Amino acid sequence: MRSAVEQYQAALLRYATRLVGDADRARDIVQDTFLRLLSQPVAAVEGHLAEWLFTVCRNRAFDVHRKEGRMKYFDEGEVERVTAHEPRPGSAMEAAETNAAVLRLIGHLPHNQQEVIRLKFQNGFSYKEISRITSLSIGNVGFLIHTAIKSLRREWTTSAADQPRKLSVHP
Amino acid sequence: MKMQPDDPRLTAFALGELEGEEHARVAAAVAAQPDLQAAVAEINFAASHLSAALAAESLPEVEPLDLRKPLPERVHRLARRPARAHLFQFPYVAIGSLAAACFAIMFLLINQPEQNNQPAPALAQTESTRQTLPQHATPDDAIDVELVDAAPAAAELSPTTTTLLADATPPTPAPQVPVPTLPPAPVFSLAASTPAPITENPNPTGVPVHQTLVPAAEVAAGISRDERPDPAGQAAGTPTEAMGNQLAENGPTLRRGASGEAALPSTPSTDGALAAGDANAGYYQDLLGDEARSNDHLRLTFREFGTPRYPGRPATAARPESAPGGSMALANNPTTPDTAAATPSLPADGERSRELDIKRDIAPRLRSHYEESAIEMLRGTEEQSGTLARGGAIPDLETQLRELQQADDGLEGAVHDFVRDNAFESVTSHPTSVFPVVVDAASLVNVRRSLLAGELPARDAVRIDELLNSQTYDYVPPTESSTEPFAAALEVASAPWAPEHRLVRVGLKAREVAPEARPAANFVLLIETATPNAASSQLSAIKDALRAFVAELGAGDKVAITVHSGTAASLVLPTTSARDRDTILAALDSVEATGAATGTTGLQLAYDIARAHFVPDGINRVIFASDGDTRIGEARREAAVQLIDRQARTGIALSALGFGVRDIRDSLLESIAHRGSGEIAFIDTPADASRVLNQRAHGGFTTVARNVKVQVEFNPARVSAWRLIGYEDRVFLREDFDRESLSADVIGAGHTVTALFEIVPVASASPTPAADSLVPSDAEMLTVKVRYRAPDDATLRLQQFSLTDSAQTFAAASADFKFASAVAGLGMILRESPHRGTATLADVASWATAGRGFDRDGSRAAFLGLVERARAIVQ
Repeated sequence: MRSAVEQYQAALLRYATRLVGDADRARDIVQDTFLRLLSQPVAAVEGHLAEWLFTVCRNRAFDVHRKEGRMKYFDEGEVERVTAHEPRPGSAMEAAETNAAVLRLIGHLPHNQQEVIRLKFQNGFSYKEISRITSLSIGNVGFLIHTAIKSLRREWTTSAADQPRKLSVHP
Repeated sequence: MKMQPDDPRLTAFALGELEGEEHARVAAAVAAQPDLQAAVAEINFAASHLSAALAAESLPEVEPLDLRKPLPERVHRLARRPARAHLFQFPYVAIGSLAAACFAIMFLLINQPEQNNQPAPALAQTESTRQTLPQHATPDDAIDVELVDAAPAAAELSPTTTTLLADATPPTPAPQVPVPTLPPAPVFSLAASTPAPITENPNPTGVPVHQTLVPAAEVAAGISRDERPDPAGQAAGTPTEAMGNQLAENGPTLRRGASGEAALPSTPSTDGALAAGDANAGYYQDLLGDEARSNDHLRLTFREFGTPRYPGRPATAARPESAPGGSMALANNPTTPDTAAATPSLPADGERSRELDIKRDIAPRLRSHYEESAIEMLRGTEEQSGTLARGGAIPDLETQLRELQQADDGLEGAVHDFVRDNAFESVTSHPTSVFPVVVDAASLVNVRRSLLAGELPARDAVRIDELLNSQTYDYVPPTESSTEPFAAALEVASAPWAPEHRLVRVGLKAREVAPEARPAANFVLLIETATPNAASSQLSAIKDALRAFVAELGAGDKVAITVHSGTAASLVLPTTSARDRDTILAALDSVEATGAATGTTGLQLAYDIARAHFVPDGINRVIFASDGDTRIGEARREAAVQLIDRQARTGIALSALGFGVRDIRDSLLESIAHRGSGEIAFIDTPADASRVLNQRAHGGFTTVARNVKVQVEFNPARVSAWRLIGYEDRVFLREDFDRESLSADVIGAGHTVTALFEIVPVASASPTPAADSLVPSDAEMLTVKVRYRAPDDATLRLQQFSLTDSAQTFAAASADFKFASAVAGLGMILRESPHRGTATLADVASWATAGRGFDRDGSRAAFLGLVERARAIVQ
C-alpha cells in the first residue's frame, strides 16, 4: 500500500488536477482513491494497479464534477499554469526548452486528446488500458491519439526534416 | 493491402499497440510502402518527443496523504448514495449477499483452527452455517441494497460485510486475529455455494460465475468496456449505475474469460467438483502457501490439460477436502490427529518447523498482504486486537502502517518479502503442480555477493529455483526429426537429505535450431553503463562480448547500436546489414560511457528503431547490455517493464545482460528479472558472455514454442505427498497461468528449465482411502504435461512425459541429478528450510563433487567454490 502511494500519488495528483482544475479537490480525490484501494483485495488489483487507480481516480473526479459542477477537464492553456520551468544546467537547457514547447503544443489540443495523450505517453498505458480507464472504445482511443499525433507532427514536419540523422532523445 | 499514411492503425502500429494478425497486415503494408515507412518514422519521432516532454514535466508537490480522518466517517460519506434496486440486478444482489455470507464462513474457518485444536466440531458448525447463512442473507433487503450500492466502491464493502459478520457469527468466539477474509471470499464462496445464481446469470459468455466474478472489483471500480463516444456521458452516471449498466449490457469484464482458454471445452463435472472442493482449502492456500495459492490452477489446469491422467481422482480429491476440514489444514497444522494420519511420513523436525512457520511466517504475511484490509476491518468493527489497538483508541493509519512495516522489518530484513518454504501437499487434495518455464538467475548474484563478502545471504535472498536454473545441465534436446519442441529429462532417486523420500528432477529442454536454419534477425544493441570510471572495465567487457556476437551474425541479419548514457539516448549506428561488419565494429568501438543513465528513454529508442525495421517472421530483439548499476525510480522501472511487456507481445523481444553486476537491487535488471518480461542473464566472465550471446546468435533466439505451461500430475497410487522445491515467491504464477499470452512464455531454441520435487511415496505412508479404493494402480509415478503453441500456429498442443520410479538410489543417479541435488541442498541450508533433513554443507560439497561431471563451462567448479565459502563462514 505504501509503495503504491509513493509510486502513484504524484502522477494521480497531476491527472486529477487536470481533470478538476483544482489542486485541493484533486488531493481529496486522490485520497479517496487510495482509501478505496485499502479495501481492495490484493488479487483484484494485482497486475493492473496503475490502471485501477487511474480508473477510480477518474470516476471520483467525475463524481465531484457531477456534484459540484467544478469540472475543468484539461483546459486549454492549463499547461503553462501547472508546469514549473526550472532552469537546468548545460545542454539539458535546450532539452527543457524543447520539452516546454512540446507541452505548450499539447496544451492546445482538444481536452479529450490531451487526456489520452497524457495517459499514453506520460503514464505509459496501452490503448487497451486507456480504453478501460476512460470508457472509450479502443478504436476511439486510437483515433484520438492518432489525430493528436498528426497535428503535432504537422507542427514539427518542417523542423524534423532539418534534423540530423542522429536521434537524440532526452528524458 | 494498400494503406493510407493517415490511417489510425498506422499510429497504433508505430506505437506497438497492434497484435496478431492486424499487426502482421500493417507490418506488411509498411514494408511495401515507403510513404508508410516515412509516416512511421515521423510518428515515432513525435512519440519520442511526447514521451520525453511529458516525462520531464514536473510532478506536483506531494504531501503525505491525510488519512487521519476517521475512516468510518469517510466511508459512510462515500457510501451514502441513493440505493437503486433495479430488477435486472437481482442475480447480482443474490451473488453479493452470498459472497458476504460465505465471507462469514471463511472467517469462521480461518479462526477456528487457530483457536482450538479440534477442527471437527468447528467444521460441523461451519457446515451448518453454510446451510443457513444464504437463506439468512438473501431476503435481508437492507443488506442486499447496501451491498449492491457498495459494490462499486470497494471501500464500502467492508463495513457492510462486517455488519453481516456480526449478525451471522454470534456462536463463534471473538476473532483474535484480524484476518481479513474479504479478498478471496467472492471467488471461493461462489464456487462453493451458488449454483442457482449461475443458472440465472445473464452472462452472455457462458463462463461460470465463479470465474466471471473474480474481476468483479474491476467492474466495481467502474472499468467499463462500453463504447460511449462521449466521456461526459459516462460522467453523468454514478459508479453504481455504471456497474449495473455494464453488467446488464456487457457482462462482467473478463480477465481470463476473454481469452481463448475459457472457450476451450471443459468437463463440467470435473470443473464444478474442483471448484467446490477448492472452496475451503483455497482460502488456507491463499494464506499459507504460494504454490498452494495456485488453487485456481486446479480448476483451470484440468480444462487446459484435458482429461486428468489418473481418472477418478479429481472428484474424489475435491470432495473429501471440504468435509474433513481442508487438507491444507492437514499439511499445515500438524497438531491435529487427522493430519498425522494423512501425512504420516513427514519428518519430525519438519513438523516442528512448520508449526513455527505459522507464527513466524504466516502472521507477517497476513500483515503484509492484508494489512490494508486488516486495518479497514479493525476500524469497521472496532475490534480490539493486541498489537494494533491502543487502549480503545485506534491509532491513525500511518502509524499503524509504520508499525506493521517495522514488525516485518524486524523479522527478516526489509528487502525480501517471503521466507516460507513450500509445504508438502497431499496428492488427494492437490494432484497437480505447475511451475514457470522461465526462471532468472538473480538469486545467484545475490548469494554469490554475500558469500564472497564473507557473510551468509539473507534467508529469503536464497531462491532455490533460481539457483537451480542458473546452472547448466546436459539434457538431451529433441531429435532433429522430431516436430515437438521439448524433450524431458526426468529422473528419480532417493532424496539424499531424506532417504525415505524420493527426489524427482523434471528437466525440459527445448529443441535446438541450427544456425543456418535461423530466420533473418533485426537486432538493436542498447548499451547502458553507470559512471564512466567504474564502468570502463565493464564497458570493455560489453564491447568484447558484442563484438564476438556481431562476428557470428549471418548475412541476412541487421544491427543497430544505441547508447543510453547520461541523460540522453542516442543512435550510434542506424540499422545496418551484418554484411557491413566493419562499419558495425567501428561504431561499437566508438561507444564511450559518459555517466549513469537516468531513465528508460534508451529502451524506448531501441524499441523504436527495432519497430521501424521490424522483420516479419524473423527475429526482432533488443539486446540490452548494462552493468546493472543504474538506479532508477520505481515508477520508471514499472513503466519500463510495461513497455517491455507490450513490445514482447507485439513481436520485439528483449535480452537483458548484466555485466559484472554486483547488486541488482533497485535496478531495471531486477524489475525485468522479477517480472519475467524478457530473458535475463548475468555475465561475469568472457565464457559467460560467449555462452549466452554466441550460442544464441547461432540459433538460440529462434522461438520454438510460445504460451508454454507445464503441469506435473502425480499418481495417487504412487505418491502420497509432494513438495516443489523453490519457486516460493512466484506469486505471479496464478496470474500467469490465467493469462493467455505472456511474453515470458516465449521459449527460444535450446532453453532448459529444471524443477525438483521431493516426494513422499505411497509405500512409505499408510495409503489414503482414496488411493486404495478409487484409483487404478498405475505404474507411473507422475506425468509431465507441457502445453504450448508452435511459433506460427494458434493451435494448443500438448506433450506428455511419464516417469516410473525404478527405485534408483542416489548413488546410482546421474551427475546432473547429483549436482542439482547439491544446489537444492545448499539453497535449503542457506534458507534454513525446515525440509532440509539431514543435509549439511559437507554433504552438499560431496554431492556436488560426485555430480561435477564434465563441467563444460566451469560453472560447477564455481559452485563448489561457493559451497566452500559458505563452509568457511559457518565455521
